[in-house]
Amino acid sequence: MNFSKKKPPLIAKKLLRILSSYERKFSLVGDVEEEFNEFAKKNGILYAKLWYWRQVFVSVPLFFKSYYFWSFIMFNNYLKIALRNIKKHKIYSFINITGLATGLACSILIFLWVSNELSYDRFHTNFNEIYRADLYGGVFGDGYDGSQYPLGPESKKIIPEIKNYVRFWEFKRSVFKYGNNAFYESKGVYSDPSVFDLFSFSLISGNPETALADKNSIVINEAIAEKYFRDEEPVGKTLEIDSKLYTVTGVLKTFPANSHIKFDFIIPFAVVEAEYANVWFNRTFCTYFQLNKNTGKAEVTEKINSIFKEHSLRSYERGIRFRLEPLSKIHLFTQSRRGWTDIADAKYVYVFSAVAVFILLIACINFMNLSTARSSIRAKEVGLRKTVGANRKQLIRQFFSESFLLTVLSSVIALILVTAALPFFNTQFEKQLSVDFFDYKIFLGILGVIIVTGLASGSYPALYLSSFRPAGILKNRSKSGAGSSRFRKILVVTQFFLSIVLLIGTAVIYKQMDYIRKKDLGFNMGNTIILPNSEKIGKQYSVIKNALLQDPDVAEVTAQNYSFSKIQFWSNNLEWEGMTKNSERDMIWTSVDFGYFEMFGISMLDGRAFSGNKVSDKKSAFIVNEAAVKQMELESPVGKRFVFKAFGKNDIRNGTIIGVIKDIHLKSLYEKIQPHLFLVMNDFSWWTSTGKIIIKFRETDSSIGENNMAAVIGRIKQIWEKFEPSVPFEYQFLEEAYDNFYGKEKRTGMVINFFTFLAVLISCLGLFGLASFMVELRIKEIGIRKVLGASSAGLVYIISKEFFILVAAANIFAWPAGFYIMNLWLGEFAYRVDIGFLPLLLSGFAAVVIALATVSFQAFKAAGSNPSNCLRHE
Amino acid sequence: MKELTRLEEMYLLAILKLQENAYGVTIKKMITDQTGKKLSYGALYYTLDQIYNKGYVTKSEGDPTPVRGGCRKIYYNITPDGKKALKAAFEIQKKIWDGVSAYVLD
Repeated sequence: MNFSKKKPPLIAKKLLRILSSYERKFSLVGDVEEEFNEFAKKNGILYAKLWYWRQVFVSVPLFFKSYYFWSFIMFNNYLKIALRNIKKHKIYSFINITGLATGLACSILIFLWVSNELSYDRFHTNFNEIYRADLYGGVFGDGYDGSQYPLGPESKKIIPEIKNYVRFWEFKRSVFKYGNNAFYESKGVYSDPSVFDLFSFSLISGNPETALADKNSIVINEAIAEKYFRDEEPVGKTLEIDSKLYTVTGVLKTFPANSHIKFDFIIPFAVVEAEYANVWFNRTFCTYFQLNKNTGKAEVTEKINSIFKEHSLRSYERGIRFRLEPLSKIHLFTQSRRGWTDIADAKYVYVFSAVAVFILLIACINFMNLSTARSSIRAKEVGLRKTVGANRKQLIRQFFSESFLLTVLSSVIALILVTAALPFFNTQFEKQLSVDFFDYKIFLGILGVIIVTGLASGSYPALYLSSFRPAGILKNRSKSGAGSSRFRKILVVTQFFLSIVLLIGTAVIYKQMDYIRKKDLGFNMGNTIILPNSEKIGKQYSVIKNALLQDPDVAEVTAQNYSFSKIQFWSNNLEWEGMTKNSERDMIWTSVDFGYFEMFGISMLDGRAFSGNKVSDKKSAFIVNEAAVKQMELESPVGKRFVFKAFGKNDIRNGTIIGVIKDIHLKSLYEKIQPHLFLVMNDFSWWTSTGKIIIKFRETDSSIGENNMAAVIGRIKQIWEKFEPSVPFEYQFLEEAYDNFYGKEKRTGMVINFFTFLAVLISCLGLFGLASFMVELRIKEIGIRKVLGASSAGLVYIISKEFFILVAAANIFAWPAGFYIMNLWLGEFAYRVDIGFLPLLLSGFAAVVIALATVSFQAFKAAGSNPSNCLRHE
Repeated sequence: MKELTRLEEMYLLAILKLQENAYGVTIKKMITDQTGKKLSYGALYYTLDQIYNKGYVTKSEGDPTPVRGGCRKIYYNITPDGKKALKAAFEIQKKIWDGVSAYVLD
């Protein structure tokens, strides 16, 4: 018989071999081959091969069944032993599981947060084709997401690669009224009808094609619809907004929270079209473009810049350009921080991912350490198993099952912890994270973390324990070789390294936050509240001001045309004596009422403040700060002529600079102080939506302070309601408004503190376990020393010495690492502290103290034990 | 003593009938011939393991042959326990079929 021709298909045969269990491997494969040969004889080799393949496939499910049958039987045994072990050493198991569960919980939480951050805006179908036009260069520095009103339509007209455009503009905070309900609504935008085409925002009622066509229409979201219309159908009804009537033309379907553009209602641009259609100097609008598929943004950017050059030559010559920011990069990487969009910092994503990995690493290291540390206890079991025939693979499988069991237990606890912590986490960070097992990405991610943890922490003990040689163990030779303890020491050093770096981070963040809080901003914010403006209030401002000043507890009243957090009205529509063609003109400008500088204690470096007594001040006085003087390159600015044209042709302010103030931080300490211009507010009613009344209370003793405060505010409220009965009274302390600048930092600080605490906790748990093992190992030595007269202190010293060296080593590595990382973080602040030696020293010291405390506890216990107990076991 | 399942009964009877020559290929052939059931090797060996675990059969190894690509055979032989189980099954079969003949089922 010519056997070379009648060979079964090799791949199929290999498969069969792999799938069959050890025992059956040969008989089964042989059987199939035998039948194959018969079949081949009868029906030819081709059909025989097909038949062979068929046999393999049909048998596969049952192979798995039988494989798992055997594994199941053995697994039951492993499970039993594992559970028994856990019960026997309750403390160690508790430490292990707690440590791992905590580590897992942190990582899962951070993972959820990170994947949320990375998923922003992906629900838009045109995600890959949308870009935002940002300005950069010159005054706009790294980036500013503003553009001119006509840029969109002009670009679409001229550039064929642009498929569509849409613009947004913040709608002022206004009072909505319907029936008996009146509330402030502040999260609205103007937009174009194309907003429904470009972005995947949809309407649950109303027609997207026509909803934004009419001037007096408004599209509201479900929340507003619910608030004002309850069960009625909103479309077609009339809403009164700041005393103007609008027709509701659509209800917006609530869109996912991970959108960087957030708004509650839309007003069509038709309302302001006439005013801004050809205005190129106002760049406060936000324009998004949709490019044709597969168009590169480079050419389009060029073309947009040429349009820009045509209409704003001066700015173009100053190096200001447009760039197109892809939608995928906006949420995390944009440089523009205007504030109306939901922006996060990619930096934090990296940082927290690193922290998650850190903590998980520490937890895994713990796990490994503790599992192997008790190896002498398990050694006998291993020896026995090997003697009765277990091979190394089976032992590895056994210890892996144990680690996996512990990991699974820890995971369950971790998930419970995460679910419990999420509500708190969500409110703090205004997110909507959830452990959504239906989202396959999250499910796989979490599963992945669990499996990797199980493998990582299980591998070392599994490999280590299964390598014992039976003879050595059963002869009771203790296995505390130099190699194993060295590795364990490295693990401890790594754990403490990570913990100390986190401690340094916490210390530096605290230092920076403290610095910011205490830094003299240059003006006095205490005891001041700000009130919003409204139409009626604006018209009666001077009357109201007088009424307020009558109150004995009100010290000063002034006003500003917008709030402190929105200081970003830039203009270059100005001139001064000595200006040249190449002068930088862009400045921030603020119009204020008399008494502004006095109220905040801002002293004039030169010249004088605005004075109510000088009538001319109203139209022709200007005050600038040092930065502005520097920019204008003026030697003695007071007295120089100055013209401000930003209010339009009918209100050109022609006058002189009457004073110079010191640079003060009116914005957050993230930014350098910019050139700032102040002028006198002529008519507060201009600024109905953005204007703010600022009231300062009389300085009182703090003992009377609080009650008095409430009383004054009550009286102010009465005055307010007298003049403006239909708008709810609201106020805010200026200090609070400022704190909100640093909301993000405060929260970051809080989170880092939390994680540091956890990391240190986990490291200590590990150290605790390790220390108790070491003590156990040396119990006889301790007993003998005690008998020979060693004092408790002496014993503690001997035991702790080893660990002290380890922690000291961790410090040596951690200090440079921590210093470097924190320097990077501080680099973001325009005004920052030096790291200095103190945080490093404190962190190191803290780590050492904690480590020693943990170890000495065990050592004391051992030192106090009766020597005869430990020497008895001989 | 647990009752034999139908499947186990088939296997044991096949092994009984094959006497010395009961191994993978032959058992499979016998069952297919007798009952028309088409088995896959996976199913076959799974059940063989089951009845082995229950102690109804023993295994013994045979020689490798070239036609099997050099692989050994595993022969199965019925044990006294197996015979007892079959006997019990036979008794039950007799009792429950008593009085019923094939004609009645038409």
